[in-house]
Amino acid sequence: MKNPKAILIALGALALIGFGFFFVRGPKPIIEIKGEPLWTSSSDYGEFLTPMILNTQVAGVLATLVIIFVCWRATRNMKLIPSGLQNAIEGVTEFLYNTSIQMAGEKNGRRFFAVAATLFVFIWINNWLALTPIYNSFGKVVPVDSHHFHEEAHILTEQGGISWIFPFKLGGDAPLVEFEVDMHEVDEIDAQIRQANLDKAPREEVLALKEEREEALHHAQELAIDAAMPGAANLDLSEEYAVCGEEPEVSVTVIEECKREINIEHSEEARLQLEADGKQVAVIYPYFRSFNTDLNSPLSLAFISVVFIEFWGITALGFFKYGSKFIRNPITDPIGAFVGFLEIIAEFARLISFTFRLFGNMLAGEILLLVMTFLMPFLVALPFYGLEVFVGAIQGFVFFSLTVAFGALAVASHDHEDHGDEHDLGEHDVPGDQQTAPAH
Amino acid sequence: MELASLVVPLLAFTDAGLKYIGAGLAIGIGGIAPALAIGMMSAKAMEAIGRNPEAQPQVQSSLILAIVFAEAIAIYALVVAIMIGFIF
Repeated sequence: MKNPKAILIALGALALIGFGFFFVRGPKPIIEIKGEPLWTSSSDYGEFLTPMILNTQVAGVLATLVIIFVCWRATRNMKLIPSGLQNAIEGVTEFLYNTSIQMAGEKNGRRFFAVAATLFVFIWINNWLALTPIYNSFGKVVPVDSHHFHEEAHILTEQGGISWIFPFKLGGDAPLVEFEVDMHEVDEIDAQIRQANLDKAPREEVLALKEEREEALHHAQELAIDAAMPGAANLDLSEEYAVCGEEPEVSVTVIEECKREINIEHSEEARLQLEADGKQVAVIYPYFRSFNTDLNSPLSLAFISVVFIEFWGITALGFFKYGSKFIRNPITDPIGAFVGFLEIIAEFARLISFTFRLFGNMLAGEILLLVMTFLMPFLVALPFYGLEVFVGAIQGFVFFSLTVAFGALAVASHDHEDHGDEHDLGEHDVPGDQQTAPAH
Repeated sequence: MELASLVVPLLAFTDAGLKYIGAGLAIGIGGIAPALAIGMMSAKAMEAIGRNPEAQPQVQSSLILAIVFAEAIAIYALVVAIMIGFIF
């Protein structure tokens, strides 16, 4: 109670959280792993070859334009004593340059700097732009069919030319199906069996009655399932036939399948109802989506990085010397051949880890922000926003420094593996070889 | 009645249910080792900074790089979990 101002601030924050939670909560987030196509070519060359423009690509073009614009502004009116934007850009460039020199040595650091710094700036600007409100907020409206609608969709209403999204939840949780098996007939047959047993009736008669009872029970169960889930009779069970080899019994799978069908039916009804009310059921493909949240984009960046690393290695050591790192004669040098084989695998693992590190970090960040904004808008989402600002810059820097570090490894001649071969000792193809080892 | 009583407990172990259990396990188990690794590295780095405060910038930059390598493992687990949850 010492500081009334702090208490007021805390109360205000709580009020803001409450307001956000109860009044401005957005719709349930729809998480799409793949980039959404904004334009697809009309000619169809199959799933992988049909040309299309993804929203991540549009975002990449936007980021490029932003980078060009910022650099143009910064260098338009250069001064010897920099200030403002020029100062900032020079600071970033200098930091990257010094890091590069420090990690790969004077000569190689200068060589690696251009490519690695370009990758850094591109990733960094993309990640930070993705935190601006123009990303993921407006986009192409794509109507969905009932199968999709059952899982996830937005409901849009036109008001004054703007489409509003409304919170929406349907499907997903199927109503708990209750069975009411009519045991009336079965009970009757049970009574008959009991009577027959009491009367010492012939064995065949009792067996026939028991068979009859089984049939009645099965029939009653089927009726119950049919009553609870009308779609059950029309299900396509060809997969279950293939698995069982015969007509499947009523099983969990069948019931799950039934529930899905029922949900889709409900969704269809709900959709027709909504459309009658002048609303539209659709998903939104945003025009801009964070560049690195589609696997294609980090993969392409990783390709650039790895191809350049190999290129540096080949130009520094020569094709055959560099190739001898990977492929050796397995008869004269079996251990070396095995190590080379591992090196080849490591090269591909490098590509994959470059890709997934960036992709995973950015996608996880997007999902985190989306979910946090959905759960608790305003204040609770803020710290995560700050975290994303940090991660966006760090991931760019990691890409940069890994490119430089792997480049330094590639241009280093591998004489530490040649301890057994006396004639190779002391041979250094690259002057200043000692400094080329990565700094860490 | 007997059929219903048999079926209801089994519903959690359908393909859909097992899918989410798998996704949770993937990120849960995959997070253990990176967490330990990052903790150890940070502890050592702090020790180093405490002994030699002038070396803080170098320690910090190599620490971040090292942490990212460990974190990558967690990210792979996360990607796998996301794939299990949303794609398959």
